[in-house]
Order: sequence, then C-alpha cells, then structure tokens
Amino acid sequence: MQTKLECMTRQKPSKKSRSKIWKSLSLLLLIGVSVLGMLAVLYVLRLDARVTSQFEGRRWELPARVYARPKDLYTGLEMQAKQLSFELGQLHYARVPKVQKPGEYSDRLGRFEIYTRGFHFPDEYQDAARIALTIDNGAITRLEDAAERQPLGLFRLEPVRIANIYPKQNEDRLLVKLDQVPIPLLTALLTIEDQSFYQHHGVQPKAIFRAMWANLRAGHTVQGGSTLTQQLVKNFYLSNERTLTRKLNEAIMALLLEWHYDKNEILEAYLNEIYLGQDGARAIHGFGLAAQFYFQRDLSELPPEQLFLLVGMAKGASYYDPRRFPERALERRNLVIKTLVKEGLLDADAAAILEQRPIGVTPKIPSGITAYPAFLDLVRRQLRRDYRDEDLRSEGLSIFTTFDPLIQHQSEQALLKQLAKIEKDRGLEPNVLQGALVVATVDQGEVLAIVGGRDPRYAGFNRALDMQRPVGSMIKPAVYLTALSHPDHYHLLTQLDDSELVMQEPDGTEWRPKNYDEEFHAHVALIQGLVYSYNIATIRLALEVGLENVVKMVHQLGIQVPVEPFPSLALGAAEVPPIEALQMYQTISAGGYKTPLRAILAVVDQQGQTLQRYPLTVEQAARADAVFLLTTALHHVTISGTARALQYLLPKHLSVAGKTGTTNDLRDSWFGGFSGEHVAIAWVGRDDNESTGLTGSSGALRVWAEVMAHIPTQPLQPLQPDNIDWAKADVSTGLLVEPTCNQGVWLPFIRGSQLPQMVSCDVAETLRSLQTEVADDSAASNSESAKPASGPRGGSGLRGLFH
Amino acid sequence: MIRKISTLSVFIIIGWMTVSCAVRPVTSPSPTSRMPTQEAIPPEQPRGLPPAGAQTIPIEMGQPTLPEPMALPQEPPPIQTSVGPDLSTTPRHQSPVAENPVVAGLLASAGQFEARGDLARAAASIERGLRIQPRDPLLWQRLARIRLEQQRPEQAETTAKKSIALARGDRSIIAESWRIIAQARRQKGDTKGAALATEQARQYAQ
Repeated sequence: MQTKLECMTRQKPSKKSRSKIWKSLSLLLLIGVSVLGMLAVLYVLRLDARVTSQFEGRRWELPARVYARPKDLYTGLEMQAKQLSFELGQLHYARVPKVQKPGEYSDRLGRFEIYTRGFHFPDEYQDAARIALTIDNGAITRLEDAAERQPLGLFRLEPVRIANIYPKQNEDRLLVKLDQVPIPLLTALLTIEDQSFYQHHGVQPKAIFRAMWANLRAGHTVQGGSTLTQQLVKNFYLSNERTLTRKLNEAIMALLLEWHYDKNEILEAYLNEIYLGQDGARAIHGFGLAAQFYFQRDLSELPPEQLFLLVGMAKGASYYDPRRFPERALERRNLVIKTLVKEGLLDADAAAILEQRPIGVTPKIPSGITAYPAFLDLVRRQLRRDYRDEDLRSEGLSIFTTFDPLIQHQSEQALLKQLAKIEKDRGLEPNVLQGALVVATVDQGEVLAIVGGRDPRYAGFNRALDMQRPVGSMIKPAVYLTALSHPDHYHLLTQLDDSELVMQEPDGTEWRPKNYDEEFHAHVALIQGLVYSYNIATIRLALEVGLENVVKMVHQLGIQVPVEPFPSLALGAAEVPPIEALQMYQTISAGGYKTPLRAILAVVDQQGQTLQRYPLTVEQAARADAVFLLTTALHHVTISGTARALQYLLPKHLSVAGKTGTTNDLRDSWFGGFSGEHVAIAWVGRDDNESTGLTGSSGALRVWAEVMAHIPTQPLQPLQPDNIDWAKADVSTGLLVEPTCNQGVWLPFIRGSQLPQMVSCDVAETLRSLQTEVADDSAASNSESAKPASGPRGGSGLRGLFH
Repeated sequence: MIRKISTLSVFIIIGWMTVSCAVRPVTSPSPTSRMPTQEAIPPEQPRGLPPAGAQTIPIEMGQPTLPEPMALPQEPPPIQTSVGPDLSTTPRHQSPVAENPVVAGLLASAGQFEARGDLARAAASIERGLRIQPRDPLLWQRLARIRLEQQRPEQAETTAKKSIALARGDRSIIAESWRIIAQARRQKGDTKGAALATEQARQYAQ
C-alpha cells in the first residue's frame, strides 16, 4: 500500500517543463526525490521482509511438552479413591458439586463423575467426554459413559504434563486457534482494545489524534491510540522504547501486516503473542498459557469474569498482576465489565453478579521447568540421541513418557519419611543422609519414577543417574547366575568353601577378605552363600567360574559402565549408577528377558503426527532356568537372609526377591529387588562419602519396602521353565532328603544337573546333629539385619571389605 | 544525457516497486529440521543361547512367616503336584489367560491397525494391553507376530519365547509361538533353526 502510493508520487518529476532553469531545478529535485525515494523504498522493503519472514516462517518457537503416562481406567483396576483424586488434582481438574464442563469432576463417596478434556494421544484424538465410575474397596467396580449411560470397557484420562522444554528466549506459550477462543473474550478484547479492528487498515489516524489530544490535555499519557495490529507489531518486532521512530516503524509495519494478512490471522497472532505475565525467567505469552498460568485451566473452561480479567491485563501484565496486585487487577476487571455494559454487550444484572465474584487466581505453582527434574533428566538423555537441542526447544513437540505420577509421589514420600526416621532413630544429624530411588515395571522395563535426592524438586546432582558408588553385595547375583548357568557344575546345594582366603595383590601385599560377621563358615551351600551374603565363598566362586565370565554376565544383565575383572568385583567394587543397577535387576526379575529401560514411548509433532515410537523390545540375556534358580535364592534372601526384615515391613501376601548391598565402612547402603510387577533400586548414603553406620538392610531396604508396601503391585511370580524339578533339601548338609521328612526345604533343580545324594530323614537328622557345631558357629548372627551396626571397620587390601 | 539518467533512475525505482509489490509471502511449511520418523530399535544381535525351555508350572513362592534365624524356611513344596519327574512334564491344559474384555478389546483394535498396515500403532495397542496384563502370553504372542510383520525376526523370536515362558503350559499357545519362531528363523535365512522350531510346534500341537 505504502509502496503503491510512492509509485504515484515518483512519476511527478518526470513531467516536462519549459525553461532551462526549470529544467535543471526539476532535475535536481528529481535526483533528490529519487534518492530519497530509493532509500524509503529500501527501508520499507526491509521492514516488509522482517514482517513477513517472522509472521510466515515459524511464527513462534514452541516449547516441547513432556507428558506422564495416561492413566487407563477400566473395571477391575486397583485404585483408591484418593489416588484418582490425586491424579485429577495433577491434571488441575476442579472438584465441583455438579459437573458441567470439561476439566471438572465430582466425588461423592467414591462415586466419581469426570468431564474430561479432549486430548490428542499419539494414536488417536479422544474427544472430551463425561464418564462416571465407582471405586469400592480399592478397585473400580463400575465405569460408564455418563451421557449415554452405557458401560465403558476402557477409558484413558489425558496425561499429566510433567515438564516443558523451553525455547532459548524463555518464551512460553500454549497456542490457541481463533475458533477455540471463547466469544466473551473476543468481544471484550475488541471492545476494550480496538473497537474498529475489523474496519481499519492497521492504523487509525483519528484514534491517534484523539489520544494525542487527550494526552495533551491531561499532561501525561492517559490514552493509547494503538490498534491491535500495532500492539501486535510492538510485541512481535519492536523494543519497548517510546520514540517517534519506533512509532513510525510501528505504523508502517502495521500497514504492511494488514496488507499481507487477513484480519483473523492477525487477531489469532495477537491472542497468542500478547505478553501476559512473568514466571521467573519464563515469559508468559498468549491467552492460552495465561489461563493455565493464572487459573490452571484450559482457556475454554474459564468463566466470563476470569476471561475479562485476562482481557484487562493486556494493557499491562505486570501493573495488573492479579497475584501481586489483586485489588488493582480486580478494579481493572470490573472496568472491563462496566465498559461492556456501557456498550450494550453485557446485561447489567449479569454484570452485577460477575463483579461480585472473587478474582479467582490460583496460588502460583512452583516455578521452574518441571517438578520432576530427575525424571526429566532421563527423558532428555534419551531424546538427545535422536533430536537436536533446538528442535526440542522450539518445534512444539509432545513427548509421551512412562512416568507415573502416583508412584513418583509414593517414592518421594518413602525416601523422605524413611531417611528422617533413620536419622531420628540413630541420633544422626538431621538431613545428613541422602538417597536415591528408581522404579520400573518388571516385564516392560518402563521407568515409572526417579528420585534423585532428598529434595525431589531440586534440579541439581541426580544421584539416580549420575552417582557412581560401589554397589557392594548387590552385584553378587551376577556371580551366582554365572555359576548356575552351568548346571553340569552348579546347583543351589553345591558346596562352597568359605574358609579363610589370602590373596596376593600385584604389589605383593596380602588381601584377606572377611565376612560381615567376621567369621569363616567352612563349607556352605551355594544358596546360603547368597542368602547370607558370604564374601569369601562368593569370591572363591567368582574365581572358579572365571572373573572374565562374571564381567561378561554383569554386562549381559545390563550394566554398561566398565567393570574390572578383579576378585573384589565379586563383592561389588564396581561403581554403578542406580539406573544401571535397575537394568540388571529388571533382567533378573523378568526371568532373564532383558527389556532395555524406557522413559519415552512416543514423540509427536505439532500437527499430531507421530515422529517416533520407542517400542518394547526383548532380549534373552540369561538362561531362564538359571534365572529361576537365582530368583528362588533371592526370594530366600527376603525370607531368612540379609533382607528378612521385609517379612514384617511388607504386607503378608506380598512376596518379593532382592539383595542387600553394603560397602566398605558402611558408606553405602543399597537394596535392589522386585515384586511380580515392579523392580526398584534404593540407595542411602552421604554426599561426603562418610560412613552412615547403615547396612543395606538397615538403610536402603527400609526405603525400598516403604515404596513397595504403598504402591499397587503383584506378589512375586517367577517364571518356571519346564526343565525344573523340585526336591526337598537339607541345606546345612547339602543333601537331599525324602519328601516326607519334616525337616528340609523344597528347592528347584535344572533337569540333568548332578543332584546330591538323597538320604532318609533319620540319616539327615544324624548328620545335622553332627554339624551342629559348625551350624552354631555360623548361626551366631551372620545376617546383616540381625546384627547391629558396629561402626566402621578397617578394610584390607584391594577395595577392602564389601558386603 | 542527464535526462536519460533521470529517466533511467525513475525506471529503476518503478522496477523496484514492481518487484517489491510482487514480493508476496509464500506460504511454505515451517522449516523441517532433522526429524527421524522410524522406530528407534537398537540393532538386533543374534544370541547364541539355546531356545528356552517351554512350558512353566505356577509355583507359590514364599510363605510369609518369620523363619528361624539360621535354617532356610521349612516351606511346603511350591506346588505339591509339581514335584516328581513325570508330573512336571505333563503341562496343564487350563488356559492361564484371564478373560479380560478390556484386553480383548485392545487385541481387537490392534487387529484393525494391523489390517490397515499400521503396525506401529498395532504394537502400541498391544503395549497398552501389557500395561494392564503384563503377563498375558497371548499379548506377547501377538506382539511377536507384529514384529514378524515388521521384518524384525530377532525381536519376533525373543518376544515369542517370552510368550512361551509365560504360557504356563498352555500347549496351544506354546505351539503357536513356536510357529512364529519358525517363521522368524526363516525370515533370517536360518532354515535349520526353522525346522527345529517347526518340530517343536508340531510336538506341542499334538
């Protein structure tokens, strides 16, 4: 437009003139005007390029949104009413007496009605829907479509958003389409900010003059003459300075914008661009995000007075900040309402009611990128393999993860509660202990929860992923599994030598590994070596099967950090981050079928197209029969071994399997284990690596048990391959006994392995009494849990005493 | 002369304007950056392990009573009938799969996706079912079949084996999974292995 106008003026100098003076004068004028014109054109062209490129190109850099797993609801699902309320609370649903619109729910003694929001899942779009369900005795007993009164088979709630990955400029917005914006908002916005928006061409000279006149009379700025288009230009392209040049640029660019784009496009851009608040370094842009930021609801769910508040804030988001200056903001909102009445757009009676309503903003939710920095850490690492950082920050991707808010919540609570309790019980300084916790599903390897430290909101050092501490005896299952994978040589009753062992280190010094109880036990059955975590028997076993083979097994099970083939490896000298230990235990828990741990399920672009799925994969990492034997032994650890405290820490029906780990001088306390559905690793220690005075059993085990006891999970169900036979065994003598004997324990054997001799009940009895002395020695108190912590003790040689 | 220059300059300006007037926004899709579109599956490595044993027999682990400090617990046999050489070789014919209509629905929708050739979505439906019933051998078997269609024989085989491990002796499930393994091995070009798997399938089908 502007350019066309200049096209006309430029032709004037080419008119002819008669006299020579006229000629030269006109020539001079011509050159002058041409040069000026050229400059002007260049300038306008430059502005034009800026206007179009920014408006056309990507328009906005959009942060990536990271979502938790969606909660599937179905009849029979184990769920407490308070757990559903928690989930709905995380989704910012409003609890109301009568459900009328999306984002609301009612709860009458376990009878829920929920009006869900529409959501674009990776596989389909799910419309907003009203559902009704009943929770009785910790399970969903009825699920139906509330509108149709039809039973529903399966319904998923939209997933909780757990994080945003912001563009570099820290601008945040939630894009809205024009047709998604409530009419009252549009009406109020146009009434307040730009009544003739649909008539003007970007600028309104009349309005500018009117504003100038009003300002002159008042002596200061009382009125702005800017159109919405000008405001958009200002927000979009220009700095905040108040100079004439900027005003001029603003006007030209507004005209250009109007020339290129239609009114609705400009309005939609305005709705998404307008600055509406600040959250630390994060700038809140657009009405969509403002609705979330101030009311934690979708824009479409807001009542009219809240929409009017947002409209009022367009004039100055910090001046009318409803959290900092609620009265000022309320006044502004009511001014918007009054103006609407004056213009005949709002009924006076309705206005009176709206004006009485409170301002309604929610308390500010914790600032920052996410409430779950430790989990987001893992998500980012997995994403970084496939995406560039700037794509994550700007492409508006939706990232669907395996995160479970309920289990995360339980895990955080468990860690906090148990650390505080341990400190109190043991007279430790408050907050001296640190901890980490990771939880995944057994068969799918989906990571559900990560707690990276005592303050789960703190986005600093992530112990769950980055800490490398020796894992102690938690590594031992790898040694025993290496042995049991050779059924021709080993079974659960194979006799191991637990007598004193002296080893020469390369520098000539001697290493004499000790047991935790400082005793030697001569001969012990293989299962006892693991159940009571005997160090010397385990080292001898590791040497027998070959340290290289143990290293191989450790990696096969899923540990990636390098481990050295030293004898101390058998005692857990390897420094392994908890997340890798989790992979090792996942493989064991799934019967040797390793499923690489996943935190991400799918990545979806702005248009709802799935860019990438991270599918479930399975590898057979160990022999199923050997893993079954190992699992039996690990189960005995939790019944009678170092972790038998679990017998009273867990509900009666919940059988589990696992292994404690304690390191040199009681610095690190570990527990790794699994139920039938969940596998978890817990660590407790100190950041300064001083002694905690805790064994695996008295520290990490407590945290682990607290989680398992509070999440809905299934008891242990090891997968028994068909080549397993059961026999009754007398563990102290290492012999089989007749099945009718009162004494003895049933143990599994891989068919074809060299079974020990079977003796009659009487013979077993006699042999046992002969062994009483030996048994008494070892019975003294050789389980970690039975023995009170006896403080630091001197480790000797190599990496010292692990347990 | 001067006149010529001035006329020329006017032309230049007018030309410029025309160009500038002609510069209309071109609506093009936002610049696409490097966005992988295929599934991120780690490269498959063949494993030298022998095929895992077949049917399983459920056992009850652990009577949660506090045992004596030293002795291993005096547990009853995990399942009375599972002890003894012959009993463990006679698999039970009862199906372990709970008749869960929700899972059945997901299997059906996986079938629809499969029919449309949308294998990734079909797999996602199965995975959703596994979140509800992680140890349902039919779900794992179906996943194995999808992997086969996706030309991922290694995954098809291990997933089918997992379904066998979970089948708890259901001969028809085990036989079908061995058929999948046979196809997977053929896909890899392992004819000998395929024949062995077919033989297994035949035995269990009897």
